[in-house]
Amino acid sequence: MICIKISGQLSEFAGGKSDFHINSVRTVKELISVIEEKFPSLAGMIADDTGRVREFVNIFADGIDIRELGREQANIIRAKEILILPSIAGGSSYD
Amino acid sequence: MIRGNGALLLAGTSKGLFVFRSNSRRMKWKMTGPYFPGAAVYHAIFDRNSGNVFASVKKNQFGCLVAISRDAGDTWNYSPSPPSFPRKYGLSVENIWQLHASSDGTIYAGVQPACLFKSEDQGISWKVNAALARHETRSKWQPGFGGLCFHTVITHKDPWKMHVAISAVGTLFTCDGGRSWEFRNKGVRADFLTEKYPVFGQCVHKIAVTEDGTLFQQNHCGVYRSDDEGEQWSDISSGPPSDFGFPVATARVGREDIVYVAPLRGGDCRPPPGDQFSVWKSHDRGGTWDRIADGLPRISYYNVLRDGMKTDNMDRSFIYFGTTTGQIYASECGEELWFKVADGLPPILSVEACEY
Repeated sequence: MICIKISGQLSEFAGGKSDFHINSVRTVKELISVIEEKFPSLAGMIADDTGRVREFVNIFADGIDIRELGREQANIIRAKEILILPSIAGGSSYD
Repeated sequence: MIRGNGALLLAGTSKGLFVFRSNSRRMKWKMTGPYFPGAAVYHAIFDRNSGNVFASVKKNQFGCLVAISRDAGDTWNYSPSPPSFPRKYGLSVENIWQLHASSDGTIYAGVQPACLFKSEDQGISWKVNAALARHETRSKWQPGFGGLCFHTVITHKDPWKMHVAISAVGTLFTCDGGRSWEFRNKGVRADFLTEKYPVFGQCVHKIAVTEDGTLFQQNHCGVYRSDDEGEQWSDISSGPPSDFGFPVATARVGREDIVYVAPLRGGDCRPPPGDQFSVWKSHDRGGTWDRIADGLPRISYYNVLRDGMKTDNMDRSFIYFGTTTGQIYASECGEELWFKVADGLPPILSVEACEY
């Protein structure tokens, strides 16, 4: 089992939960598919319609940024904890 | 069909949705919100058939959603399956620019990258328009500065007919319920292209329609009218101090239609002409124009975006505009005296008003 922990901004798309468990998955791509089955709107917040993780979303597998592991193809089969957080982002014209 | 004795004003802003309610006199408004604080609400609409309110919500780091309220904006739920492209298209919804409720109860969403989605279950699920997603010219569509945004949906009494508009692609028309689309850009200039009157590629900013089906278009390169469902457009720009602007709106007052535009200096420089934002109106379908500025600040540099000026189509119609610096002004159509409804809001992306 993997524990998925999400930021407070995302919990409204996971039935108010800040964490939940899923069976082990091989890749981030598979992780997104499993989340899509469980919480479709949450998956849409994390990845775009093509399945690519959104630019300002950070996913850490046991503390390691999945960008260092191959993004959607990252092998996370041994991960115990997945942390999903928004990037720190500011300075847009509307801020 | 909802027929109340009050008015509802929905203001989508860069930091949430604000809802205003008033009685039929519409002189004093009570505000609630922001709903979805921190999220950009590009558009919100009231469906008079169902009484539901729909809002497009763009979360900063995340994706886009459609929110639905069954109590005129007091409480909200997100669509469990918002507009999204099936994987086979290789496209992803970046923004929902436009929502539209047709008289038959269908809800439409115009998205970026340009495409149309429709919901036949009041926003619960959405289906992509395949004919637009796979249009034979799609690979040649160029975005405007705001992106490849699908910003206008106009449905008609004939449910098979629809006009839509995309920046910077132009106007398209269907007469078979969206199974096929043809361009309707004849007579509309594209000064920024080598070919001044191309089949498509025009930078349409907004289209409004009158009760009799006359179309008015504010384009990057002029203001236009079409009397034949967009088959041919006529330039009606002479009058206002600039042919550039974003919104266009229409109102029925007595037995005449009034058309409104909000000119800005064009090109790279977009403050209002004369350093005062003002609205211009025509009572003769664009033949002559009058400036409406009474009640507005003498000096102002704000803009009004493409969905930032609308009429409420109530028995005595009012017109409203929301600014990029957070003010909302209103005036009774034909009275030409603006009064302030709200101030201090975030930049306003859209307004919609209606009987409630």
